[in-house]
Amino acid sequence: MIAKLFNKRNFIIVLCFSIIIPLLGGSYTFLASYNRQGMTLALSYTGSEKGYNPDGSKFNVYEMKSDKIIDEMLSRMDVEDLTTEFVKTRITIEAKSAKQSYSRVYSAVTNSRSSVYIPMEFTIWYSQKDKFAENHTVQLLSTLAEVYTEYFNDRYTEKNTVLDVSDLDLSKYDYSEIVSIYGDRISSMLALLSTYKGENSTFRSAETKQTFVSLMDMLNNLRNVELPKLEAYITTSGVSKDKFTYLNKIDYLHNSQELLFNKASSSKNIILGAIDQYDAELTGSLFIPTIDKNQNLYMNKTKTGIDYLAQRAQTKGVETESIRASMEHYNFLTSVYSQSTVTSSSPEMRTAQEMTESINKQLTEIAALAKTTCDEYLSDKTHDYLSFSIPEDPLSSALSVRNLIRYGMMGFILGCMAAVFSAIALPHLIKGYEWIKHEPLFSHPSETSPKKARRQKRRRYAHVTKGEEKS
Amino acid sequence: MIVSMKEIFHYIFKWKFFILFSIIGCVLLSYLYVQQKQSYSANIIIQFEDASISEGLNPDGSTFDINEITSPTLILQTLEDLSLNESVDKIRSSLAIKSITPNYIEELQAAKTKDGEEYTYYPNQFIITYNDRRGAPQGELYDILDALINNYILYYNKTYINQAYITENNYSIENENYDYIEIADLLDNNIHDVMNNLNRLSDNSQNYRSPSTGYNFSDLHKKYNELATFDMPLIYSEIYEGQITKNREVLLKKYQHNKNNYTMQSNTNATQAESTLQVIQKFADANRDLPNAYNQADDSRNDDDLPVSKDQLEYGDTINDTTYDDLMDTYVEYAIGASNNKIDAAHCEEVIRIFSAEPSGVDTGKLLKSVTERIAYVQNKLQELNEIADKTMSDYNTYLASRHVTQLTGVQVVANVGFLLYAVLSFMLGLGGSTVFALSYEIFRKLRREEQEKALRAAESGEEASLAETEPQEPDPAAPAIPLEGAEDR
Repeated sequence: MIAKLFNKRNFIIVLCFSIIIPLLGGSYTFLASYNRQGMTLALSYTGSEKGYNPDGSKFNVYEMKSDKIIDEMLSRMDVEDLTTEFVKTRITIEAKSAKQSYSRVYSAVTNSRSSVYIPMEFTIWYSQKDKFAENHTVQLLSTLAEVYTEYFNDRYTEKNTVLDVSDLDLSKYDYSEIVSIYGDRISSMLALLSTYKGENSTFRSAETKQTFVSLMDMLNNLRNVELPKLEAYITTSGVSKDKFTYLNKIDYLHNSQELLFNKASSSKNIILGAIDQYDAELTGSLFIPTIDKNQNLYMNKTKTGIDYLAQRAQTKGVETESIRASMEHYNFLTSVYSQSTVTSSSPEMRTAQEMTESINKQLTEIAALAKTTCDEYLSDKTHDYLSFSIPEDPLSSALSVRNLIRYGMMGFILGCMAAVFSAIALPHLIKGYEWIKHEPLFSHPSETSPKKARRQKRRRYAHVTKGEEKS
Repeated sequence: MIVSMKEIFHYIFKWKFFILFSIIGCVLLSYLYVQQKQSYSANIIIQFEDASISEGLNPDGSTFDINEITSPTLILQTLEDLSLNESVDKIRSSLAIKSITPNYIEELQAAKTKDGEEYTYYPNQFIITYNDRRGAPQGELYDILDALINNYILYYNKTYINQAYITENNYSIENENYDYIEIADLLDNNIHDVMNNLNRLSDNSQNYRSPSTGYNFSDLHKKYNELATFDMPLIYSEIYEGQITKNREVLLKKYQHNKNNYTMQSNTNATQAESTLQVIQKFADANRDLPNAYNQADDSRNDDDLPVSKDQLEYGDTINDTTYDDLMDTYVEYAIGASNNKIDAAHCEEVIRIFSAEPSGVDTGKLLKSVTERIAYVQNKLQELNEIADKTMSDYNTYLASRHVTQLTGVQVVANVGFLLYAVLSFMLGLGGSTVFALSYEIFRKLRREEQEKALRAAESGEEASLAETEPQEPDPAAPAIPLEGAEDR
């Protein structure tokens, strides 16, 4: 019986199926997938596993479909007749998550265990509506990836704005103020570099050859050596761009500090007086009934007003002394600048100017070095935050060899089934059909004429008779 | 008629292709049915991180209500965000919220209930389900639930959490109603308000740096401080030096009025402080000899008749203030108020003195020009800084939002109609139905054949002679009970 299957007819059947099915299936897949392409977006930064952006805000993949992004994408593409609203409807986003993740989290939560599962991979599909127009699916997805990456980096990743000192306009400030402004800027830069150093202390820029530590050292030297030197020089020499304006300003600052001093000092004295008023006998008996960890009652000596007033008095005392110190500083400046004979043409003025320019130059150089180093560091750090996997050629991806092989196998199997069917089942069916046609299933036996029955019987037993004759 | 098991298996084998194609057909039909009837549900698990939620309260002390997620305002906002033309009510009715109660809490609740005690548990983890009945595609469900949760988190943050904000005053130097010193005061107050705000934020979030501006709160504080320390004192000093004013008379009257107010307020505060001090003394006298009743954990050993209630305070609770402390605090506040108002009155007196005298030895015109320019500069600079601070705070608020409500899972979309069940059912139906049909068909045939045989035998009995040569007398008992068609095949 098996041998019966291996004949030319069945071979042709299998061959036809093996050719026709891949052709039909391949054509269908091609039509379906050529104009619908998907790209994969994978997130890889700290916090993405909790669903955060790099800055700690909530990650929202649907920003990719926002008007801002789609508008920018369309402006970069050379495609006509596409509107933002229309493109939005043709883009779908699917999160790739393990099927059991939800139930795992639920189970953990009900058992008071901590568990979080947020998908970190997404597939972004774009389906081009006009299937017969020029295919722009890959171009659109590539541009979308490019625009979104720019947006994401701009919106959610770090920036080293504080390293930019080009906005410093010190022409309207006096020397003493310039020292203070430089000090503040350097502090801000040091704070940022310190953060980066904490993240990667061994990073060394390939371009500047600097590490964060070396940059911090440079800034510390400027802040701890150069700036105090300039401050000391201008203060002791009484150098000012406009002495009288400066004196007036110091006078105003002194008066305003005096006002604050009077208030702080008076408050401190009042609070100290209130502590004196406290009746120690009364506060000594203040106990609060409290329950401890073992649910036993115990008497708790709570903090009383004396504690709080003492704290307030201490704070006011510190504030008073701090104001007093600044008032003394203003008094000192007033005495120095009142006696100063430095004019715009004095050598002290030139020296102060040169020192300021020198510091400015150093700061600008260090800032430039720091910016280049940090840019390189951030570029290294953030370039893997988002990774897109985009099909390069829609034609090749639509004409997938794997699909063709799959359809080929399917065709071969169907062909085999058809061959088996035609060889084994079909004759049965045909004979059954003929038998049914001649002898209706539900006809009553009495309806069959004896003559007809005899003829049929003869036919059925004919081969038996023939066999007997042969033997 | 008797049908043997062998025959049944033979019939099934004979009809194998019919049965196979019936099964495939049924499974295909069930697949098409499921595709037509299919709808999806989207789920997400969220967790509230604020401790107050465990007491049934929002962070601002109001009653917590998770059903706010289904508020029409949020749904409308969501539909607008997604440009969907759907009815708010339809979406609302498709949303379901289920709280998650840990197993040990359920056990505890059961135990307490058994003892006849009440136990209230306020959950802080919830499953939000959006059950679509419109046959919407999976992606749309994902969009709707995700956008709704995003909007809710923003709403929760805006409504119940103290957000960072910028205090801005709208004023113009061209406004005739404001004198120069008043504009300077407004600018100075504005700068100091923002600085205080930034100082607080800097203390709370030292490591936060805005991704939009690149600044942290400390950097911004330094920038505002430049205005407060360098620019504003210069403006004030020039105003005082040149007695720069738009209307001296009005200014003097205003400061006189302020001085009177401060003096009046100072006197009032002084009287209030004195009165409070008297109350303190009386209170102390009255309480000095009162016995300290609660001094033993064992109630029987306390020297009073009051029972000790262990539910009064939980472990770790502290009482910060007693009546005596409150009284003392009130006294201090009044006394400080009296002193500060007196100092402010003295300051007004000083301003009046300065502006009452005629300016001498100064170029008023030059100073006026300088003041105007500096005020304009500070205004511009302040506006510029406020924009940066506003962006930074906006970023911070978004960052903060994700810290109060967190997602434990992403949005998961699941099919409501499971194909597997239908596939199994249709398989059974196909297999059962086709087998029954095949067997019935064969049994009917066999039955009919037997009847035909009977009829044939009856007919043959009359013509025995003519057919005797060819027809066998009896079927060969050794021959198998093979159906006739099978015999024909051979």
